[in-house]
Amino acid sequence: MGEHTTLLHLLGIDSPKELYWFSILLFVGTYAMIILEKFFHRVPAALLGGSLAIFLGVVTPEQAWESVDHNTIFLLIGMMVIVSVLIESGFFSILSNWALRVTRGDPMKILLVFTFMTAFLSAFLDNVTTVLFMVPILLQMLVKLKINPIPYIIATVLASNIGGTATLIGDPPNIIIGSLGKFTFNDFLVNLAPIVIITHIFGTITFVLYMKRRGYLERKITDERELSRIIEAQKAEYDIPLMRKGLIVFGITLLLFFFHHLIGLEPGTVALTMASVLLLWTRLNPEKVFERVEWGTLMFFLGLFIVIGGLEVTGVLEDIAHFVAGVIKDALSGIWIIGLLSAFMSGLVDNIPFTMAMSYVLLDLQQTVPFNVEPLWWALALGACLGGNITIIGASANIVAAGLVEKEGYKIGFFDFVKMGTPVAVVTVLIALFLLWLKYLIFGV
Amino acid sequence: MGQNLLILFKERIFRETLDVGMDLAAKTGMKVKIFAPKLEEEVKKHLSGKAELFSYEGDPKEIIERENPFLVVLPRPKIAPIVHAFKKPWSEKIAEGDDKHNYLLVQEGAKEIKKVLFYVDRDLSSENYIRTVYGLLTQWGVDFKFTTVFDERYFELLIKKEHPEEEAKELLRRMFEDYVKAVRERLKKILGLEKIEILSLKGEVRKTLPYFAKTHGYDLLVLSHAYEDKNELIENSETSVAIFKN
Repeated sequence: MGEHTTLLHLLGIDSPKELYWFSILLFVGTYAMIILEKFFHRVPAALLGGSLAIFLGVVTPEQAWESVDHNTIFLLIGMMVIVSVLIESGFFSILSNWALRVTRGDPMKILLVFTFMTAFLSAFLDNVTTVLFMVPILLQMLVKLKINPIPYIIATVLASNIGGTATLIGDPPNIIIGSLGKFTFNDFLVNLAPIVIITHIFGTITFVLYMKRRGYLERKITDERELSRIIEAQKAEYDIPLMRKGLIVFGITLLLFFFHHLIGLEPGTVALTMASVLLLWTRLNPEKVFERVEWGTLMFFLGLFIVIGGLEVTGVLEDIAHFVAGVIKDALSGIWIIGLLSAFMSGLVDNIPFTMAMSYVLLDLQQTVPFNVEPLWWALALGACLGGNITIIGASANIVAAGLVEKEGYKIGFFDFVKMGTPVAVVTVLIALFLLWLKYLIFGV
Repeated sequence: MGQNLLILFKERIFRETLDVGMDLAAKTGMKVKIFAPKLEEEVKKHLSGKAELFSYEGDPKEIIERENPFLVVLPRPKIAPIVHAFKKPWSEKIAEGDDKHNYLLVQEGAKEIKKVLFYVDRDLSSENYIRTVYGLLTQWGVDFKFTTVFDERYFELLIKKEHPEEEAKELLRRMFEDYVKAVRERLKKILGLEKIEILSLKGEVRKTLPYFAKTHGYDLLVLSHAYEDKNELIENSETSVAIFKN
């Protein structure tokens, strides 16, 4: 700790061994508060954990800053700003109106079009954002069509978690994995996207079968004239010049993501730069745009990075890596161990903190074991993202959707979600891990 | 009115543009000149004696400059919004780039103009604009409503930072009322009317106004070349749009 004076130092309890246990205590305490979300909000819980790590002297302020992964934070801020402008332009409302016209009130078509659209958009936007604009539109439409919206909303959320698994920017766990594991946008496309496409098909079959068996796919309005009236009544409020600018910048951002490794820029730098260009170009009031940025999520990340930084600094993660190395004998068995563990844990706790902790374990593991750990990173991504579908608390998007429907007088109960989410999660996780395992079995690790 | 009305086509002839232009000319007494690259026999027969017909080649802007009419009526093809973001119709480009003439862009599929939204800004609408449009709409005999938009969100961010929630709401309510009152008084004074009905809207003009027009069954939105958001208003409208000199 050098000349730096801390509270623990003043109390005379700052030996490496004592700090080691304090970092574990802070980690467990913070995670306990996050899990006990009924009593504590997860954002102040993570912030308290992070600031206590500095306050007590487990990490110095400099170490705390260094432990914050700036690429993750920049990528989230940048993409949230770009998406905020696209929402403001009415782009997503236009897409949803188009979907309504295409489906013409047919429940099966609505389910397929909306879940496909959600999965596709989730691959390029974060899941919470996708859910934030898809759920209200779907809800409004289904209520007009006199259809019970809950199963459709759950299916949409499941699709967003599946689709988000495909790319570097699709889901917060992937952003963390890409940044800490030093994987490019293309690495994700090559290694995960094909698996996710196949997985999505099986996931869709699972929830379609479930909904069909329960009678959720029956048409309630059969009168064509009434249907036409409902469809015609859907009008979008939009701003074409703003949409043009938003889509151009979004397109260039995606293009730069494809080539970011060639130009030596991190995705976070690309996203933040393009977001700044967009703000300047559109001349929108930044405060208005920032209203849609999820500052709570960013603060949550900040706190967690510091708490886990404490584990890193004190050597706890290195010890865990040694332990995991003893359990995982090779990459192929590791795919199943890491993948299933991640899926299970992501169903129980928010997948962001879990992925963050596991990523640091994998970073240390690659120094410890003799085999290539890359397959384990992909197994972590698949497990953490798809496992988020097991329960309603498994992913932020699930909680956001539940909050949105509650505002409209509906309720997604814990078991409503489990009934539909768990079978989909089990099918998709097993298929995805099998495909990953098969790929490395055929082509070698 | 004794002025000229120019109906101009660049590619094909849109019948609705012809019908709306001819109806307006008939009711206001304007002389009509129609320019199109190719005039079909059927159209010629239909318009015989009612308008002067010309076929042309080249830049339509040159015809507008040469004829210098009171009102230029152009067709506006219907395009899906996302396509519209990357493809601007030629008629929109002309109306956006020229603030020396009055334009009427007739939306494809608009059979007639019955309900009109006449947008007045407290600070930017000139006396000339208000008088000209009022005179034309009255002569045309369409059902028109004055409308004004108060951009509440611009002030909301500033006021909410410095005032408690309820106080901020009250302040905004008063600002809105003052704004509408100022527009009403201005219209009364310019038009010499005792009573003026105004549709007062809140929001961002460029989005709120076109959305209100299409969701409330208006066929035409009238605005001035002087508005800062003129181009955005034109692009965001799904109804016909008229743009007048200020």
